[in-house]
Amino acid sequence: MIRRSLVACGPWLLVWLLAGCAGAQSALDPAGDQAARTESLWTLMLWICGVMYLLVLLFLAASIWRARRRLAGPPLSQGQASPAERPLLRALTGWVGLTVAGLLVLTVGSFVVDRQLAQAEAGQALRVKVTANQWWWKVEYEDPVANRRFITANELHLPVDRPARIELEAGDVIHSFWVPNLGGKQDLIPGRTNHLTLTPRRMGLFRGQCAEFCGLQHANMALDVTVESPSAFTAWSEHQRQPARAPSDPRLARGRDVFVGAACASCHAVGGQTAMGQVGPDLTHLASRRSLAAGARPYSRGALAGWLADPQSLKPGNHMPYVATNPDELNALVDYLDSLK
Amino acid sequence: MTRHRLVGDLSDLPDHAFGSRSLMWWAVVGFMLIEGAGFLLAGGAYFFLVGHVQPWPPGQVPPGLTWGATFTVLALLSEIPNAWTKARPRPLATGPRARDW
Amino acid sequence: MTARLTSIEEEADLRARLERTWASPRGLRGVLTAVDHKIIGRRYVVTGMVFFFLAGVLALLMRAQLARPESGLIGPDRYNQIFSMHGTTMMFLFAVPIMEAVAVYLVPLMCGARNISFPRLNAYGYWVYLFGGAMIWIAFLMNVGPETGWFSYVPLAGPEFSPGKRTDFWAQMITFTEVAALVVAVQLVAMILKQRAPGMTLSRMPLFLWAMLVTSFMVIFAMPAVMLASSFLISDRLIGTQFYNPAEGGDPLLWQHLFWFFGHPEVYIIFLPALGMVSHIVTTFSRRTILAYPAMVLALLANGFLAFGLWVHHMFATGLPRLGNSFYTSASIMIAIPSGLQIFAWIATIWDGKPRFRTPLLFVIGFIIIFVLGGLTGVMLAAVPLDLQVHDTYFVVAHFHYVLIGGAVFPLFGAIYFWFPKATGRLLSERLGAWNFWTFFVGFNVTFFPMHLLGLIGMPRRIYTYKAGLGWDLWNLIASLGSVLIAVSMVVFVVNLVISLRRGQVAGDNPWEASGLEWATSSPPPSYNFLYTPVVTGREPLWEGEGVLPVMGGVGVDQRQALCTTIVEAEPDVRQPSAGPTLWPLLAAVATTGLFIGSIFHEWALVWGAIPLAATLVGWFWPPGPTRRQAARAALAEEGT
Repeated sequence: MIRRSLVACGPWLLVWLLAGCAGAQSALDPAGDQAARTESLWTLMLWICGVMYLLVLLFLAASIWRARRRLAGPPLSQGQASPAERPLLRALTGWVGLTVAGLLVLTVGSFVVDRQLAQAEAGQALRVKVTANQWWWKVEYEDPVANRRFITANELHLPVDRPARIELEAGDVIHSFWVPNLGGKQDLIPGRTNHLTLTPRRMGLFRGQCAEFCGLQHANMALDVTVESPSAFTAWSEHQRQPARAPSDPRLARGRDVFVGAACASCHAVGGQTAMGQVGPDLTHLASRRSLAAGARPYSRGALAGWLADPQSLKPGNHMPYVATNPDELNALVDYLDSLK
Repeated sequence: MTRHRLVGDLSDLPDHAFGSRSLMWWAVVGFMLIEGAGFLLAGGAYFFLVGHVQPWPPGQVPPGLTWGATFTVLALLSEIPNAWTKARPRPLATGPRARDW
Repeated sequence: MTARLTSIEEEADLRARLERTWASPRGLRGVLTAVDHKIIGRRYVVTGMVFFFLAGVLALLMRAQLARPESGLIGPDRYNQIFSMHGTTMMFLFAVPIMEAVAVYLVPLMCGARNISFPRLNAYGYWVYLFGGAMIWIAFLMNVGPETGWFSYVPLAGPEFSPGKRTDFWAQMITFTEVAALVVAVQLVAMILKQRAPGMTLSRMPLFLWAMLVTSFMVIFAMPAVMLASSFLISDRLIGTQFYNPAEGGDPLLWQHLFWFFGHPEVYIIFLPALGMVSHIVTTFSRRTILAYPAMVLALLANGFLAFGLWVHHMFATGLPRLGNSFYTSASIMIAIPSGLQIFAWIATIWDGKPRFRTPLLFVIGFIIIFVLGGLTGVMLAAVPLDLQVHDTYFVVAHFHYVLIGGAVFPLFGAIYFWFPKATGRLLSERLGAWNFWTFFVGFNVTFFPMHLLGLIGMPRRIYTYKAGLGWDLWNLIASLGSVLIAVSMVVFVVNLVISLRRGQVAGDNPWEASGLEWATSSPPPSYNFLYTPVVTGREPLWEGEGVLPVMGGVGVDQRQALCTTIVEAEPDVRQPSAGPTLWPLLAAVATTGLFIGSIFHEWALVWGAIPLAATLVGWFWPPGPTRRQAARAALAEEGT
């Protein structure tokens, strides 16, 4: 009966394996060098471990099958010889040898891929610094020229085919930076600076997520990653370097006044303004981002309005306090922020 | 139902022993191993921080030594009753479990 | 002396005298003062299983929340407490204690002894475990439960980001459970080395005793690490030390190193006793001694040693030097070799034996199928590049449930079905046992197999909800449905226990025709375990000697006495007194509890709390018997009459 059910499981497993592995946040759908090399290691592991597992199951099934033909009799104690003892001990030695060989292949495979990943930092790497906070990502694009640096939050744009060396720091607790389609993760630890190199090879929209439990809203700390052509990336970078669009009509100006007056500016910076806080995400080009509140909602004016009306409903426990405004002020503020493209 | 075949008599065995022949010795050694492992790891933690933190020692004012010193002195003093207890046991003429105090 | 069979009359007389000497008091006094390892062992097992079911309920709640994306069933604060309590309860209040509990019950019986090496210490350890477990669960039910996961990384668990007393209760619970585990470990080392039956040389020692010996040494060297780590944490939180604060000279990674130096051996501490249980079940139900016994012993030893050299594989993503990581990759992959050897030996034993597929063997077969898969995903995780993708995802959750449930819980259930008749005198129902096994096996795989894929397609651990449309919805739903089947399995198990206790088939001494010494006495064993001291002449004592057990007499009958033998050859060496029922262990445990709980709130509790503890220890260790002067006077009085 056991044997029958083991055989029956096979096709089900195959179907499962062939099911969708692709996705915007999937290690099985590599879009970069690091993820691709890791995926090939995964394939090697899957095959070798799969074969070993199959051997174990076959041996087990065979020993159960054999049981049907066993007769009753006295039990075999120490010192009593069984005719199969020697062959089985030889088979045991062979099995251990096979295990060692298989594990050696996997160890070597692991070391080879590990070295490949470490050597990936060739050429003109783009330099980005990511600082993780509860529960958002501060992203700073480095540049030797000071006024070409810029800051954004919760999003990462990368040019295809160019390595990006990402410096990782933590502002409060341990977080982990992970964009599975591009590569493995690395922790961001207070008091340490870690590094991660990603070399995207396919353009597209991907998603990263914090992978180290960091408190109440760990589940809602995602990162929008866009891999684009070098020219698109240059255009985006140039746009990011621009200060915030100045309010073009009185309504937007009113919104900006609410922003400054109602304590928003004590935590959030909008480029081109003075005396701005750095505690929360930079909002200079908020309206051009794909999502709001580190992936909590796709960006839209309505989502923004809902967020501002009560930040705690979308991400309960997050550090943004409820700021009291009357509906008119709120609308003006939303209009203003929505204009920050 | 198991039948029993008597093949020996243990009543001539001594009813107490010292050193590693005594069960209590093993308990004490076990606890020593535990404490020792703890101290070794504490030492390891110390040297880990020394290696990771500049400058060492951190902070301007070194920590006070009063309580640590008191505890060390008390621990050393506790050896006195231990030594005294160790010297006391000797074969007793008045029965297997008689004691001195 | 010449060997002779004992007579019915002398056995009956012996039985009555031994019962008088060894019986535990009845009623409430018995409950509070008993030092009989069987009473404590049974209590310990029941308490451990209660925690297992409590943690299981928490798991069902987690799966209910995750069955659908963006579910509003459980909010983040409650969910974080639930997953923290689930892990904490399973690891600290169930997995290690239940293995200790089974050992407390079985080891003295397997050694042919009357009681465990330190009966009062045994009682003390149980009470400390019970009080610690009760403390953390009461804290949880009062909304002061831990919320930062079962391994509680700093700085999240530190004073700045985890205010209040939640993490302090967690950290102190660790102290309770580690004291209890250490206490059992010390007893088992002493017992297994010094109190085995005459003739039970090391090379004739049952594999469960080998497993418990190695486990006990692992406990002794690993537990101090977590006690140190949690003490540093309490100290940081209570009195302002800065062990883990990088701004002031500390390092968050110190916590990780200390915790995982304990944490990796911890899982082998859970796993090794299960391997011992598997060996006994395979031997009995294949009706042949285990193949390659010396290799099996070496495999246990290798597991025990290697387990201490792996801990950094939990830290591959923290940015440690690559060369160091490579060492830990090799070590973590190498530890698969002893396990692989053991798996082969067990299957080969079944192959060459005359297997009877009773419930215990079913659970062993389930163990092989599930654990080996988990071990292989462990090999995958040992490779740094792959680990960097799937670390902290549901792939890891799948891995450790496969190795823990497959590698420890399935053998445990097999062991319960195997030794339940010995402990209670009744067999569990085979039919319900089969239902228990199959619902558990299928339910487990339906729940946890999809999690491998979920991790690979991006789902991190410890998230209270997830977005729809990432491709995770269906697999989460399937996993949640599987968890319901596991719950059904547990209900079947409990029903089996309850029904069989009352109306199960009466077991007799040795219903399975097993070979260990514990089967040479009645079911359940009498308070004194064995009428005489068994003598062992081979690895499978009851399979030699055709129904007659060689024994020795001479160990005290009218006073509690234990036999000590030599370490390697197990030659009879010394008789020693064995402690009887007393209230002091419970009082000392209460004082310990006061000390530990007090020090959550104020550091001076360490000083003031030590005083009642010292008082109870003085009472405990106060020497028994008459003083020399009293004995001399009594002897004089006797002479005079």
